[in-house]
Amino acid sequence: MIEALLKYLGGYLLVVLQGYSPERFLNICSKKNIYIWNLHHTSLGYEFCISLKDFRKIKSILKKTKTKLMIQKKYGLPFFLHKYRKRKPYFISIIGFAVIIYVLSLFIWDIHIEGNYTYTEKMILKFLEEEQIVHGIRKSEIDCDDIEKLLRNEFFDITWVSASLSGTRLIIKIQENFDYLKVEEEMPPYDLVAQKDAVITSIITRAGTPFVKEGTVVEKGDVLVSGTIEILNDFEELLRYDYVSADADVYGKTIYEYKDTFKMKNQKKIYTGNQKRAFFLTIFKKKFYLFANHHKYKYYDVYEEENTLTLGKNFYLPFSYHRCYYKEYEIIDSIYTEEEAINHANSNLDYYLEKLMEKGVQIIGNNVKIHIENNICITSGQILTVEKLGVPEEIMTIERNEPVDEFN
Amino acid sequence: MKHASKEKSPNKVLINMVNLFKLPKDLVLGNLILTASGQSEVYVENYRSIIEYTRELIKLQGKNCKVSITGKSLFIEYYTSDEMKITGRIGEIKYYS
Repeated sequence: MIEALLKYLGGYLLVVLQGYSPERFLNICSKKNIYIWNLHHTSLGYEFCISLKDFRKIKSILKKTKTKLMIQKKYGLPFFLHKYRKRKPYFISIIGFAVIIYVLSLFIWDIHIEGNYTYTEKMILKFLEEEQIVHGIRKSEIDCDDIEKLLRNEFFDITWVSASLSGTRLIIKIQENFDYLKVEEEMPPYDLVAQKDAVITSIITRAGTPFVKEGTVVEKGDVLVSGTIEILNDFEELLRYDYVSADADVYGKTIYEYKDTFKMKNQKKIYTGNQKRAFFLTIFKKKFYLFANHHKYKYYDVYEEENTLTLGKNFYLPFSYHRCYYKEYEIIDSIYTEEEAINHANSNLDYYLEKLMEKGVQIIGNNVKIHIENNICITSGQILTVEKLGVPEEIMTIERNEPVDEFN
Repeated sequence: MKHASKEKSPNKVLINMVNLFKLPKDLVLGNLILTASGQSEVYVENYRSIIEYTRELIKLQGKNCKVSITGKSLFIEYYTSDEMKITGRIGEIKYYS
């Protein structure tokens, strides 16, 4: 492969050797270290390839052996360049290309981050951006030691950083400390308080004094589990109060009121099927319309797709390509039939229940009823649920001024 | 065969020396080395010159002997002062002095 490339760069000739004793010529060539390859015997004589450099040396041998060479074909770069020497734009573009490649290689085109676990790539890139290290920065402006220092100072649980340049990429390797101990903030002691009226169904206390049992009816604001612990002495007398953060799993039955009304008369949005398209480019936040169909729609929705060009994974170029659709619609007055109204009411209710369940509320049952009156559809009723109770509320600690004397 | 009579026969003392000291024979005695791989390739090393070359016959001169390679559409892929590669359909390889 390399040999073929060298031959091509140096240029070589396919020649035919004719004369009285071509073998002698060949032997002299090999003695003088003139490299000959692809030697054929054809009806014209010996046909072989010889490099351009050697071809210039063999004139004396030809004279000596009284042979003649005829050039059949010329291969290689020197002949190629000679042939196209008049095509100036061609050479200019070759040189221009080399210059562009060189200039482009002076910039960073990709910042690659490895080993990040809790910090996302975006976070680190954003931080680097604030420090003027962005995609497209000159390589000479980058100081890897500096980047390492900056990152270590900013993110204090990054224990090790290595920044290196490889080609036009900036590679940042990070080691995060996973064993980093979180110092828990000391919370002031608190009670758990009911956030709704409920009937307690189960209670498991981990810290604090429970005030309720299964079956207790509580109102909003009632203390479920107190963070105050009474410390008694051996004679069941109060020694002092200890305060903790109450912690418990309390579940209770609660009721949600549900009411939904809507008119039977409504407006429907119907797409006419007419749509127009538009394309535009944004270059440095300036819009350039490539193609746009003008429309005279009264009501329409606009759908827009944006494609931003990226180089690699994270380098967003300031060019984006947009595609817009304008979809026309008409507004039509219509009246729900009874069946439609019920379906609509049901779907509203389902949506509400789904939202409740997403909050972790368990639904036991409902007695929601739908009825239609005076062109208004009313859905109302109660939803019976079981949910987790207890919101923290800070304790007003009572400082006892007089210490109780045990030995009194 | 006129040529053959002029050919020097290798010195017996030299051969014994080479065998005794295990010297490379191709260097000291100038022996031809032919490496034939399959029926289509022959490498020839340590030859002196080409005597004749046609599509059917290649005659080579070694230091002590001659070699003729016959076959069909013989083709010298490359040759330098001490090595050549011949491809084609090799019929026979014959030595004579």
